[in-house]
Amino acid sequence: MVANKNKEHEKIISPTRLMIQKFKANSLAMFGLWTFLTIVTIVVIGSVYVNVTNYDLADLSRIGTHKYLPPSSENWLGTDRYGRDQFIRVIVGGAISLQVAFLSTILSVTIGITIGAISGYFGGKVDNFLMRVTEIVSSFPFLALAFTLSVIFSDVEQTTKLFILVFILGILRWTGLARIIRGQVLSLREQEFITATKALGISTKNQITRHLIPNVVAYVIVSATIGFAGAILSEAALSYLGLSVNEPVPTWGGLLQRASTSTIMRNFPWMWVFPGIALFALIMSVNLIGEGLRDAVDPKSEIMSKSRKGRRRKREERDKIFAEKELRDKRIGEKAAGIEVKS
Amino acid sequence: MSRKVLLETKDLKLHFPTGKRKNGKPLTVKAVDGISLKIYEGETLGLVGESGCGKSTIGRTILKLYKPTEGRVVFDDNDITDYSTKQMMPLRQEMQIIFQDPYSSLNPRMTVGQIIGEALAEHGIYKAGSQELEDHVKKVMATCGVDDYMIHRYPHQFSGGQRQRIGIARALALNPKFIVCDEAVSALDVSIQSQVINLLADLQKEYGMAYLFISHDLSVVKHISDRIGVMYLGNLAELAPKKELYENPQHPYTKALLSAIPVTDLEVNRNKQRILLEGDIPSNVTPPPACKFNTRCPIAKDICRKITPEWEKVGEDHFVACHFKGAEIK
Repeated sequence: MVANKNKEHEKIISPTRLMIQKFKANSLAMFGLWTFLTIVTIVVIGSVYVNVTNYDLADLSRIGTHKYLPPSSENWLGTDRYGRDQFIRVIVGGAISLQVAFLSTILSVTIGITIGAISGYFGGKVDNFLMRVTEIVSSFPFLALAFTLSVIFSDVEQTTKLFILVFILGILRWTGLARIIRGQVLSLREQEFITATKALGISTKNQITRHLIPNVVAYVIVSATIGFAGAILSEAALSYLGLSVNEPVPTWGGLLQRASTSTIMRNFPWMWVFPGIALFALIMSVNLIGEGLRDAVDPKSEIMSKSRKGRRRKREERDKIFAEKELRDKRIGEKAAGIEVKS
Repeated sequence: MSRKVLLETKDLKLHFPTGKRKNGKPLTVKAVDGISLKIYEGETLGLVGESGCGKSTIGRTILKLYKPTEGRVVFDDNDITDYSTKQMMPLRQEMQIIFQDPYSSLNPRMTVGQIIGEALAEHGIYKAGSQELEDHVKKVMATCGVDDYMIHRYPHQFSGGQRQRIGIARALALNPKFIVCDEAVSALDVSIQSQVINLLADLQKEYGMAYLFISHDLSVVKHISDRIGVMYLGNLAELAPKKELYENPQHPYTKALLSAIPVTDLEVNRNKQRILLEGDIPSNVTPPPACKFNTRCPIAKDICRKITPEWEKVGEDHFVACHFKGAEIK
């Protein structure tokens, strides 16, 4: 009993807690997380500033005097053709990108979970029907549909256009997640703890919310993160093609598109370098987070050593063991050879 | 006898559809093919048989986890065969199940306290999150030999034996009258097996619930059961009180099973006659006609391939289905 008393305040590590620990120990993923948070913070502060000061994105007053100025203390990232500050434009573009990505990911995750969970849980005809729908949706040609929808809604207001973009991205990107969730739910349904909930008389609602969803949520987070990165890239691609929010509101794809003549490329590199870096950094950081989450969710992956020193020590230990083993094998081999010669 | 029948199955059948024959006739796996048995209050009925003979399926069908194809299930004088999920709700407290696999039967994302207490809150016995609920869960845990300070731990922090106790505690928390132990100890090593079996026996003494103890391990069944049923390919071959079955087996299949129990006494072993069954258990999609055991029976005659043997009483509480019951096997 004395020993038990001591254990009464033992630290309980929940599976979620364990995942967070694993993620924290993964320095690459943490680097991604910090990069992501930095970008988001800058973008949020910047767009609040733009909103509060009523910054005019269509300000053409400096058109002659400030055309294509290189980065300076006044214009941190230089100016564009109309003398507008590139720094503000990159930040506003980031805000659009993040908004579209967040909202469309939320939309696609919601649809994906719903369809996948229903399909996996109820099975049979429902599953068959929903999976065929999923297949149809996943075989829609993305660009053709995006083109058509953008052309149809080309005259609407900018904010509405943003939501149409969110809708296009969200409605076309849920299929992968739905399949993953369906597979997970199908395999969970065969587990005995789900049979146990039936035997215990747990209601269907609680079966799904307490037993199924907590067990798939990790996969949802991983998939959502990776989908988020994809959504940013798709938004950039669509706006590059001019299918997103138009001038004077900047988008990263739009900024890149405007810089895509050889004159600008060669003479005014700040026009494309900065939006490019921003896009690259954001997507990379989200992907790093996604990779880290994937490792953290995998119960088989072990916690990586936090410090570089610790990792090196571990590697050295492993090398040492390996070398010893090799040596031993060699000796045994020699011995065996020796015996053979003797006999 | 004045024993009260707690549960009765009448010609219970469960056929799983597995596609169609070329001529369009549906094919079915006859997992349970007409089983009638009674379980009395406070007794343990052991159920043995080879893999795939339908032992687990019948346990789950009784609990209405599968919908029976034919036949009736009567629990506590109520015919529950056609009960809806909603109607079954109050009965879920009365009948419980302990699973074979202690690893997949506990939700990895819930603490032990949540696992054991969930159904109590669901049935409104205690309020979720209340002190009474926690006290009750701790009490049940203590009864099942799991220290109550572990209440906030997660399943992955336990060994197989401990997990199985948690599974037992979960079933027991509702104070049921009837528990299906579906290979409850098969996944555990021998020393833990004996602990868990003794625990089950002690709990029965204290609370007086009935067990349907499903196992393929004859020595385990012999230890815990009052009566034993032998199953073959979805049917009962023989059903008798434990002592009677071990001393006076009537069905050739029972005899073969009993002769396969390893004996530690060398002297006995030398004189022991082993009945070796040839071949594998036939498919239960297309079972042999008439007596299903005829393909492997050492004493099968023509009649066994033509006429299904009756379920006959041969002694007190002793039933057998065989044309040549009690015949010597050479």
